[in-house]
Amino acid sequence: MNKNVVEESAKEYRFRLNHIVKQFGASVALDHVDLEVKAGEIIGLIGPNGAGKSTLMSILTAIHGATEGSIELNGVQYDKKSYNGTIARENGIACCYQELSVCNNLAIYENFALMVMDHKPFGKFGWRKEMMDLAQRMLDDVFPDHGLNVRQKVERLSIEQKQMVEICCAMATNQLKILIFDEPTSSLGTERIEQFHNAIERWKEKGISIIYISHKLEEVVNITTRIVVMRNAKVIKELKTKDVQVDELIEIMGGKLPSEYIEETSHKECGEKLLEIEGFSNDQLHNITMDIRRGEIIGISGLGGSGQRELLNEIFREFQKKRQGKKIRTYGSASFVSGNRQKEGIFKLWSIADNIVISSLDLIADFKLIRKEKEEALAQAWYDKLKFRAQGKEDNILNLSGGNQQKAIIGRGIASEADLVIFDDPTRGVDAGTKKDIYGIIREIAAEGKSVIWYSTEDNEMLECDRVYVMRDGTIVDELKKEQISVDALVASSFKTADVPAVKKQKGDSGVLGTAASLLKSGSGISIIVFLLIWIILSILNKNVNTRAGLVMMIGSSLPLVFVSLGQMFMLVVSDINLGVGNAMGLVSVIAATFMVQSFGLGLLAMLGFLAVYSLTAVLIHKRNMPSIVVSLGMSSVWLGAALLIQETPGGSCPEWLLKIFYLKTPVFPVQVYICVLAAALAYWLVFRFKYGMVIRGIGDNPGSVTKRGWSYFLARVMAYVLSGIFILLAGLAFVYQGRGSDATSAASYQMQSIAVVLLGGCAFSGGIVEPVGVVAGAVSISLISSILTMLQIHSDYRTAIIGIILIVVLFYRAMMKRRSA
Amino acid sequence: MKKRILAVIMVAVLAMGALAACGSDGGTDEAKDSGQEAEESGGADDYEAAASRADWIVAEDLKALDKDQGYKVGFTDNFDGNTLHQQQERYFQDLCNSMKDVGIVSDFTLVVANNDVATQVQQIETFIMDGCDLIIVDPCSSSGLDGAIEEAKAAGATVVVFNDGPVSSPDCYQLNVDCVANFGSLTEWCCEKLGGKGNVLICRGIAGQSYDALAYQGITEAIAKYPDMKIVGEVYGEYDSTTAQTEISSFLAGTKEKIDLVCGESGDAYGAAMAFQAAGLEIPLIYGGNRGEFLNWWMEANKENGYETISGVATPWFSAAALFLGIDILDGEDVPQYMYYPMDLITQEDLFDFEGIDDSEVATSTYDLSWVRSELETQDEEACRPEMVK
Amino acid sequence: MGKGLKLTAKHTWIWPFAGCVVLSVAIALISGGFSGRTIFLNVTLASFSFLLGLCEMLVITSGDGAIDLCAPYVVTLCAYISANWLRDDKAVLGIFIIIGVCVLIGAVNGLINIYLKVHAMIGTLAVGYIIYSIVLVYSKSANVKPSKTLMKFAQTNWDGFSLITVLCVILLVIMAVVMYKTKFGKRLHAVGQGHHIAELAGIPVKKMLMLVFIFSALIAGVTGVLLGAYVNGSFQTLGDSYQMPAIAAALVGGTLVSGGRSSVLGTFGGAILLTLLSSMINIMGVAAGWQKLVEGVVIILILVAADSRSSRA
Repeated sequence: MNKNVVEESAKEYRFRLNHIVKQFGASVALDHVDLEVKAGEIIGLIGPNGAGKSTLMSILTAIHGATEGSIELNGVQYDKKSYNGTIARENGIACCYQELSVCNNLAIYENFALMVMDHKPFGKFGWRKEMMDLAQRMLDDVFPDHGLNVRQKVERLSIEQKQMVEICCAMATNQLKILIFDEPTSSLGTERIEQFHNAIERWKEKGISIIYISHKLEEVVNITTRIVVMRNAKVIKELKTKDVQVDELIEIMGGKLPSEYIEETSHKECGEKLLEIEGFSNDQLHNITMDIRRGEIIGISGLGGSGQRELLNEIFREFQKKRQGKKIRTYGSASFVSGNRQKEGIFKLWSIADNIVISSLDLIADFKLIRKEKEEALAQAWYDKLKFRAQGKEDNILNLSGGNQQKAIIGRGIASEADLVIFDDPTRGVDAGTKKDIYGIIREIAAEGKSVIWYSTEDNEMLECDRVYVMRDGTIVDELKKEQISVDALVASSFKTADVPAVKKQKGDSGVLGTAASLLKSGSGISIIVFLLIWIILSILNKNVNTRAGLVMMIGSSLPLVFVSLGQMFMLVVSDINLGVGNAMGLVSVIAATFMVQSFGLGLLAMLGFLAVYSLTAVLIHKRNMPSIVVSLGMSSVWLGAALLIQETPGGSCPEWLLKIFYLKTPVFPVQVYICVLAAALAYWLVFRFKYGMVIRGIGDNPGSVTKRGWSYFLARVMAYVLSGIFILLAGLAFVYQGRGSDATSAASYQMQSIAVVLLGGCAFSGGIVEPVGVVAGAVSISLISSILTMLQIHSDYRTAIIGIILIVVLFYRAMMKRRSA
Repeated sequence: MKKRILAVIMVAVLAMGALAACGSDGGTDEAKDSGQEAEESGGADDYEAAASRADWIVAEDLKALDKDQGYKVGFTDNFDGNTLHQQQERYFQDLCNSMKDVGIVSDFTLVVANNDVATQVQQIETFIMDGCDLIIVDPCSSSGLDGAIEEAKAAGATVVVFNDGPVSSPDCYQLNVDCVANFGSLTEWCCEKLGGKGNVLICRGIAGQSYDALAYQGITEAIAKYPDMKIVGEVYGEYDSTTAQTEISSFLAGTKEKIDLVCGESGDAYGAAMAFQAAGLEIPLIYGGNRGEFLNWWMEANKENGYETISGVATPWFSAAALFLGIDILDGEDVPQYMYYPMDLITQEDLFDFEGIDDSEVATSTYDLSWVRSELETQDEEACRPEMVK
Repeated sequence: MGKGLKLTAKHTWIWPFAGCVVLSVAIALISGGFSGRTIFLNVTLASFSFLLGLCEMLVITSGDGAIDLCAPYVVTLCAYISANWLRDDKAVLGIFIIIGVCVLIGAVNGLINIYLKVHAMIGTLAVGYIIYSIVLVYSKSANVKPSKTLMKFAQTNWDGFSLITVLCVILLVIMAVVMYKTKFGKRLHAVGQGHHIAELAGIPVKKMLMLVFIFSALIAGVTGVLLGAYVNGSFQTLGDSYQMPAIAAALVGGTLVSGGRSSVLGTFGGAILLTLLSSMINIMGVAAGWQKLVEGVVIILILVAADSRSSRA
């Protein structure tokens, strides 16, 4: 490490970025940028998109390494090679990102834990309580009356609440010295924004430096002490905040207030109605009444989270329907332009041209076949018209800046020649120049007779509209007509009280009934119920099931599936799937029946060898970014091949010590039952109580954000595979016991069943959501189906159909439950 | 919501299609039973009527065995997707129903494991819990059932394994096919016919199964006796005509060798012939497995160009044999623990006796109790003991 | 060099075909000589993996990590049905029955995925389980051997170059046109890149998904008819061994597992590649254990190679 201790005077600076140059390939993102921040300063970092603000911060947080330049923190200087994430964290640098980075499947306090705790796998005794207290404290401090329960899972929170949690997490960093906020208030209501700004003030008093990146210039002017303006990879100006107004800032950045653009538009002929809504209500909206005519530009405004997005989506959906609705009547066609480019806007694999023409296929096709010439012509026409800054229309859309990507989406919406174009906050995160272009486009299409619905979070933009509907709490509280529209008027309207019925309080889950209800809703719940049902049916059919011998047999024969499914479960945590667990178990059983019988040491070695190879597949999958489904398919053959090589024909025997374990005379229940319970308990502990288990779950849900906190995605994945492998080892042992020997080819049938079991148990393909208890219950259930069929004298041909039907019913039920609680 | 209901209904339709014949394929044969009820009221059992279920069942045998034992029987077949297994199930069911008519057997259940070891283990355990006295198993795996068989023995049930054994469990009776001897003798006959010279393609069964390993042993040992016979290839036909055809076609697609002999493991002979036919090659010497399709083809080929070969298989009647053995064991008769079921041979001379056989049938001979007692129960236990038994 | 890589990234099908050439040479070396007949026979055998690979390609392209796990069972079922119904005067009715069954299965898959919101992989697995049961029950009473005419049709060949290959090529051309030149195809690729994004772009996502599942089932049905006729009869697990090669063929050929990009020609190349691999291992005459091991390792290697060349999202 290259530390040069600098003179005393430099120590008053909190940090300094010196001559930072950052190049991504040929493009220069930062061009000799200098930034100095003192203790207790609140710096507003503003600039058009692509200016380099986020990149600069990424250098500070060490997400990217600088190409040139050095960083000085608290008096210690680091050159570009020696600076890394650990140093950043150790020096108290924390960042709260624009994209929500909380893990939905974890509790609030667990998100804090990920942020704050060290990266050792095991936590100190009692760390959970400590974290809960911390989370409570932080939330209370920044957002009084937040009304949140820190043990609640984040997925249940509203967007505003999630952002609150996000902010508090950042503020909870150990020994915080520099706090970076990147568009922190996009989802907060005014009240919360105020509380947030108060907290920032308090932090400032404590000497913490804050860097505030935002497009909301009024906020920047409000709370910052100094403003740094960036443009085109350089810092172009620094000013003291008290010396400057919002208009000046915009001018400095290169844009002009839209108010300058209100030219005298010719009197518009507003045509017939395109949309008519009368008293429409649904879950989020209440008593909406509005209409739109041809050629109108309608604005939707109001405080964030008042239902504007829901309204837009609802309107668009109605236009897509073939039948006319009762409360919402549509005439003509509509297209949708979303401002959430990453998630709702761009087709990432495609070029600009493809992104534009996709909604206009009817225009460029004859009889279902697309005409190449028409496609080219259409794409080129729009490419030219919208003045893209790119290398041609075949350029991949990911190479473009946010503003240009937005243009492509807009192009798509207009090219389709829809009568109504719906804009959902299109200028979000877009630079001033492109904004200008976008306003021009909107005006143009309105002049051509198309209608526009425009939702924007910047009140200035509403001045472009003919009429504006202001929303609050899911209903329309005001309608402003042309001359009435002004920023003041909009703000005033947005605070009008809404006439909505009082929100029904969510019944808490308390009491016995509540616990039962919450059990039902929980992932494991249904699986446990299915298990109980099956057990009851079995018991009715044959009393012997509940005898000791019966339990030994019924539970004992389920053990291989129990362990294999748990092994599969650990794959699902990191959203991988393993199509080779069956044969892997087979291989382990072969090792146990051959090597281990000869010599325990040799067998153990072979098993560890297997575990090593098994975990190495994680390396392959992670480093080469390969789909786990395919790799595991290939490995399935490998496991089988290896097993056949060791043991060509079935045989071997069960190791003595293993037999002894199963012959143990345990009190009350036979040892098989205890093994099942222990398996469930171990898996439960690993997933829900083990600190690293929480990390793995978090990474399964939101790998990007957890890795930003310094945890290693790669390590977590390998760990998950190791845990999975351990359960496969146990499965192999159970299998060897069952057969008192091994048969390499007979393990394959467990493969698909393990997938059925984990899903029945409540795990999700998407990662991060696992239910060990449910999985164990599910495994026993599915194992026992054969017995039920035999007893009922139903032909065993129906066995797989019954599994299939149970699966569909359970998954359907679960989807319904999710929908209801959402 | 409507669409959801529609979706559920469609799934239900599909499921109903599956559960169409949701009746038991178990022991109770309603129609026939009700007819028998009237006859069984005290007095003498009607052996003739019971034996009339199938023409090979002998009334005297039923009489000889009848001591009103009322045994409970469970039968698990590993697979019933081909006619051999379907035939063996039929033989078993006919005999067992007859025994049920006269009171030797009180109840029986027949289940199929569809090649799933876990299912078969569960089935055996269910039989144990049901209190079965006799459990007959056509095993899915040579070693995967050992635990379940041990449990059965501990619970006092008798287990008889037949056909797709041997199994490694020492706790059961085994009526095995002497693969080494059977396939060995077939191979030898063919080698003799070829004058001890030629290229051989071996069509094996399923990799990793002991039946296949033993058959392979028999075949290779026989070939080893003829130094001018060379093995040029091995494929896995999985005892099935169509798989054999695919695998052999694939092999022929890649090789230049001329094949003179195909040694299979029963059930794959016709497929082998078809593979050569489809490839436009001359059909080599292939020994058969007594399947109707192969016999019919053989008859055609013989008429056309004098094609001669031999065919042999352990016939599906061994399920009935197993049942007879089981009853004898339960009755306390002296039955060896390990037995071999003989092979039915069809030579060129016998071939046309089978004219008119259906493609899907297996040419089989049936026997009776006295045959079982004289041919099977007199075998030498140690000589028939499979190597793999623990 | 850079340009070369770019070219192969765009035309992902080059890699599987390159691999085919390598393997053909290897086989020729091992078996001592090259023969057109060998290649043709392998291509014919590959046809079934190719056809099922098309099913997988369709479903995988529709995005969201979807895979069709019931296709092999549909193959088996339709093989049995065709053996029974596609003969003499029942033939026309038989064709309608097969089409009807396939459409029903595809519709059920679609409904489960779209309205019951069950992930396609598990939904098709569950439906596959149900179909398997139907096969097991039906196979007891069904005629196993197809009619002579059907068999002859399937086995027609001109010195090894089979009619089935011709059918495959025809289907390949049709699929290529559908996937890359029609509105349906373009929309499908959009859907694969994001269901919600596609919805907002005005694409009827639900209708598309339903069509995809039905299409897939129909192709699987045709495969079943051809396969059953080609191998002279069906058995309960006829389609099972084509499951893995089908998925592998689609992925090796350049179809992205996350959806949104496909390659019809690549799937064809992938199928032939895997069949050649299997042939080669067969004639190498090694023990079963080594066969399986080598197969598995080579597939992984091929996928590593294929994946690193294709441009990733």
